[in-house]
Amino acid sequence: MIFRQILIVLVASSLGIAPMVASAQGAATVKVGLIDTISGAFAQVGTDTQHGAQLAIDEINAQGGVAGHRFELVVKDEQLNPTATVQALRELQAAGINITMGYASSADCLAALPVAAQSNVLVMGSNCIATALTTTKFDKHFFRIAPSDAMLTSAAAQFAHEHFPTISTWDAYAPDYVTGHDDWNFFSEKLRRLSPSVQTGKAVFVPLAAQDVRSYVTALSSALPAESAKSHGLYLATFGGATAAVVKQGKPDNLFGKFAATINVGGSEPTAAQLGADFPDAWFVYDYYNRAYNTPMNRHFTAAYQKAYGDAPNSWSYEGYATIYALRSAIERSKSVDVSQIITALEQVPVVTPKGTLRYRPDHELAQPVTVFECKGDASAPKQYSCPHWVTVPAEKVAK
Amino acid sequence: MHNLFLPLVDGLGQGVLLFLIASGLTLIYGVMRVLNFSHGGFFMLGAYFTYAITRGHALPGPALVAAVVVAGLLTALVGALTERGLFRRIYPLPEISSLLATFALLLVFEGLGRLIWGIAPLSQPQSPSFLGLLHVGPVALPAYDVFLYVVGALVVFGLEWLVESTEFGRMVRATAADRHMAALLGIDVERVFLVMFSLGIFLAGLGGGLVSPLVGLTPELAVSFIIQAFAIVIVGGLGSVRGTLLAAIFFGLLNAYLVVLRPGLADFSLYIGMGLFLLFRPQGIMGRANRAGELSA
Repeated sequence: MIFRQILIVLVASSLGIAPMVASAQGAATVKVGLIDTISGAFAQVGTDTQHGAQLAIDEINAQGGVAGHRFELVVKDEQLNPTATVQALRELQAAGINITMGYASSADCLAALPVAAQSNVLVMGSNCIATALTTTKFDKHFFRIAPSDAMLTSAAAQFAHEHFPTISTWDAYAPDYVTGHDDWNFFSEKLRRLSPSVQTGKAVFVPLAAQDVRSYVTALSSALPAESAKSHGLYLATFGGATAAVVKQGKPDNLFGKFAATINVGGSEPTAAQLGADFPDAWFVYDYYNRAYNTPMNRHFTAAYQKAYGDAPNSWSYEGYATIYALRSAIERSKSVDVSQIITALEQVPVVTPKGTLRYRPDHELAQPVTVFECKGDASAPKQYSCPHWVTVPAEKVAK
Repeated sequence: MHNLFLPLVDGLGQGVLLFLIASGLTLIYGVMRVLNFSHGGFFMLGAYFTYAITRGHALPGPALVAAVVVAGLLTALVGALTERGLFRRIYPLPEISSLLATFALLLVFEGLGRLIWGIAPLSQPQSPSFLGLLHVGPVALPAYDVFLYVVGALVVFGLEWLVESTEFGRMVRATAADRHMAALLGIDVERVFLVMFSLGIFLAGLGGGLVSPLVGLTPELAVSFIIQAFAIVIVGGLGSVRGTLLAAIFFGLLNAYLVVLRPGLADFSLYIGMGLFLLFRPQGIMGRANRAGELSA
């Protein structure tokens, strides 16, 4: 009996179908490893991604699975730590799981990708956005669900050009790391190409872990001319706690009131939810906002997510959900759970998501629109904030 | 000139906030000789307690102040229970063991924070009373910074009075100098430890409550200020409250001026400051007058 089981496992491994575990009762199972930050300061990223993925899995399994397989999610907490990410990847691989998704940060994806490539593991980057992953560090095992940072900043510049033509100068408040500087430069260059008369003003770069940012707020605020509220725009590239700090510590000086508009690249609704009535009027530039897409799938996703988790889905929930549906499309096309065949299928098959039917480009970047939506504190709203306006910047305008 | 005055305001505000966090740390080390890494956990509790008391609402100034003080007292209560249950067993251990034990406690606090208040960041709104600017000549001072200056001054003078001018303060100094001799002289050393530990933790909770309107609340607050606080305690001279104040203001001003004058170096202000002191005055600002970590106001 034991010999027979070992033989089955060996044969399965040699055929490259390790993720499939035969079940005597019904369909085989394809296990998907979710490697994401489930604990720590950014736990909401991983938890919401997990919620979205689990919802998609429940729906697909309820419909009989895909190509005779049922999905199962195996969750690993990578604690926003590249070393822990690689460790989690190795553990999943040792357990025969060769399809992975999630990855909260670009550093995690960049650390995992060489290991994944060596062991023929698929990396569906649900959250990580570094452009290098589809350019200089490209590997066929990586597919991105979220838009790249280049796509986000490109969309931000496009939006600034189209919606705020009277703003003559854009200032920056951004995190002090390579991507923070590169994205600001990219935004400035694209904006100058679109509107040659637009200038860049004061750029303040803040350490990632800084909590007391009053000096940085003063440095930005004191550089503004008296009439800045008419002619200056703010490019804000922080998210989460860093945005909370600048909003709260900038309030006595009315920092955000000194700008005609604020564009927050990389921030999204959870930040507005955290700050409630304190949140200033700002335009988020990010992957998804549930009211911005009027597709049948998005309407269904929003309602099902609300029912399952008691709140509307955000970008991370969307990314988890879309990743599983992308995998379903690929497995349906290839009729296999072999990683090489899934990769080939992903390169060819249309991916059905709540944002619409999308396609992967040859560099494994998902050609997709970027969502821009305005949120502001509103003490009279049930959640103390509201998001009254939204637009989408089409895929062809955000191509890097 | 005006532009160089602005960092002075910011730096003093930062410095006072750091002092409030670090003063409890130096007090506990000065008396109990424990490097209390879990101080950051108590600081986080103070912030969350304030949020729980206000229910996340913006309150008038006096109500917010009352909420912060109550949060500090609740934190001190948790501290007193922890002192009885855990720290009493840590005092006799070598410093490295107490450091490891208190670090473990810090992780426990982080986990508890996550369990009780969840993973989504929370926000304590600022009181409308503290949102304005106070104009002093040509300079506009944020009202909340001025309030922090006042609290900082009260803490300094309060601790100085307690340690230097009261009967209890004399017992504290005797205990800090030699706990065994103090016990032989009839001082209730356990009571001194309990009171001073709770006072140190009250200051941590107070600091957490005061910082809560300025930042987003996550369990990671527990570790976000603790490294800076330790640096300040060391540079100030272990166990010296006045030294801690001077060091906190030094670090606040150094950071604020670097942001304006040399932005590329601002991220390293903590290490630059520590490096300078380790090179030129390794005993810390008040180190000479203050023998090897002996408590002083």
